[in-house]
Amino acid sequence: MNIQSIACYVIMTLMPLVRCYSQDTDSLDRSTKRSLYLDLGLGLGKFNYTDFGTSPLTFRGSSYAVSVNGLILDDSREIHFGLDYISGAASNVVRNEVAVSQMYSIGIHYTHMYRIKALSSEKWNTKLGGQINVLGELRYAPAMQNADIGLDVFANILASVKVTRDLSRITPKEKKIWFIRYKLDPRKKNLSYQMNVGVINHNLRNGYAYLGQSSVVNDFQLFDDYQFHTLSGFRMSSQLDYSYFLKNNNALRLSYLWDAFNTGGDLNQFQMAYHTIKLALLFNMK
Amino acid sequence: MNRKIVILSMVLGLSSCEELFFEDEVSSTSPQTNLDYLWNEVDKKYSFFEVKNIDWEEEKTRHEAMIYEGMSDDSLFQVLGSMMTELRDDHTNLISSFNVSFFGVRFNAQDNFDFRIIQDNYLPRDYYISGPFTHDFIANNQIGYIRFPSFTGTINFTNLGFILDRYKDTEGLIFDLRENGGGAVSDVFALLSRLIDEETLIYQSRIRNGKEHSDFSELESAYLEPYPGTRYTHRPVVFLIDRGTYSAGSFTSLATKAIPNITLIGDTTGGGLGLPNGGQLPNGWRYRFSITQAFTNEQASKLEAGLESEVNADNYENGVPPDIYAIMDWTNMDTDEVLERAIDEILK
Repeated sequence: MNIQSIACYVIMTLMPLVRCYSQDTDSLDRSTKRSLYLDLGLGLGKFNYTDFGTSPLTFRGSSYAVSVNGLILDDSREIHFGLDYISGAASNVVRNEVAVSQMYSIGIHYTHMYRIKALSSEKWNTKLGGQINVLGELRYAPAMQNADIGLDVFANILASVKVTRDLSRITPKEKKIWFIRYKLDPRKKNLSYQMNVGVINHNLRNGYAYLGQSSVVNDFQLFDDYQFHTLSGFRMSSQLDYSYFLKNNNALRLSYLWDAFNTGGDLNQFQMAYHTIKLALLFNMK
Repeated sequence: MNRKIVILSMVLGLSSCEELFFEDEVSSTSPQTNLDYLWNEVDKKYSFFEVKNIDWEEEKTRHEAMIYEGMSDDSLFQVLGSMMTELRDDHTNLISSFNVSFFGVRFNAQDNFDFRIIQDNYLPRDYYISGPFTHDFIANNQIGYIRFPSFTGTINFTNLGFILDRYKDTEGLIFDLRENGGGAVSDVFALLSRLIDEETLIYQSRIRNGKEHSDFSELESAYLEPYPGTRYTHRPVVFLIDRGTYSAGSFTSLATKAIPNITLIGDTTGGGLGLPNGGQLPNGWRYRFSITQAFTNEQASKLEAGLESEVNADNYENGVPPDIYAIMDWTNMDTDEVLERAIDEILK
């Protein structure tokens, strides 16, 4: 990790403290106006991972994603919670040598953020908070023979910051392309960017020899010889959203998501990154 | 507009900065890089250095002298494969798209099996095939002969139940595990659970857990529960073994040392009592080698008493010895002397 990333880490870690001095005092009055959305998303993306326990080479591949989220939000507070499933195929190639793998991951997350008045205006809304994220990730790479299955669990607490720019059209607009005239009705839209930086990072991962011996001693255990590493590794993620609200108060959201994490230590390190373009339907439930 | 593009570019750039905290991939076709990587992986995790008295540092020096930048892939494979072969272990392989290195422990002893001799001289032409087993009555229908050539992981209660029911009135059973190179260790327990009447501690195992060649976990016990259905425990059972009996075949042989009514007849097995893991080199070649050790209960007791060197000197990784030694006489192609010895043992 270089100086820039350490600085970034420290700043992002300290930022939630600002909330203590800047939370809106009238947030309770607004709670009745808070929106509740069911967010159903489908995405396509790419991912890469390196499991140094079995290979120094990086597997790269494409993936699809399905997500179900609940969103509770207004201008002053925002809560996200939900489940993400990502699956994909990857490979590494060196000259004529090809290795392939399948990847499956399930993540659950909960995010809670508050508006920072000092950093917000009529058009801009800045929120700070935190996220709890637990990700289980399974890989099958037959080239690794008995070590063909990699199973890891990552549990992280992340500091979160989200900046939203209101792009809503307040008044109707007349437009013209060549000779075609058309009218744009008032519409609520916004662009937002959220970044999460790991503050507390844990992982559950293979032990020294990568494999356990439970199958040999007639006592198969899924997490045989696994070790729980506390305060080990790092995680960082972000999400760029363009949200377009419909007349019925539902919304369409186009997102670019990035999630990267690694484990610490000097043996059997693991690192992985997802890049996903996702289209979501937000159903207003209130 | 330009400002928006700059902001968007920064956001997307920041979102792709995983390289900041990721280790660099080590993709390389350099002979030195690949030798170093392979040597280190084996050095850190292989489990039988002390049992086989291998000077791994010396092997690095010797093989390092054979490599040079620009050598062909085939030549590099010969060098790295040779280094792996020095482990004298058929759970150790280097695998590329054009070659696989191996030790070939079975070639260290004479061949002791030809199934055609048994088919021609012992079995009826319409012998039975039940799952992975080939079997029928032999010795005037007094004995059930069961050929088991590979641990395919497909033993189930149907095929084994059928066999044990068919031969329930015989004087004994012969399981022929010669030239059985191993496979799924789950089959070991599925097979042996039919041959015991009570829970049995069949062997103990430990795994490499540190950088020193002598770093191992505590011993873990392998217990075997009797199968609740059809079993064969009232008459003698013989397992035929030879140098080609390897891995799961050796685990089976090791376990029989704790089961009184099973006798091993033939030649010493090939070994393979370490669970092999697997991995990949920076040039994409693959490898595997053993990371565990298995012991009889007697050997495990000696280990716990601190007699490590005594156990190492007599470790069954170098082959599980038979209870009765017997080998083929290839001047007589009508008789399987190992099988004959087993028949004599059952009918004595």
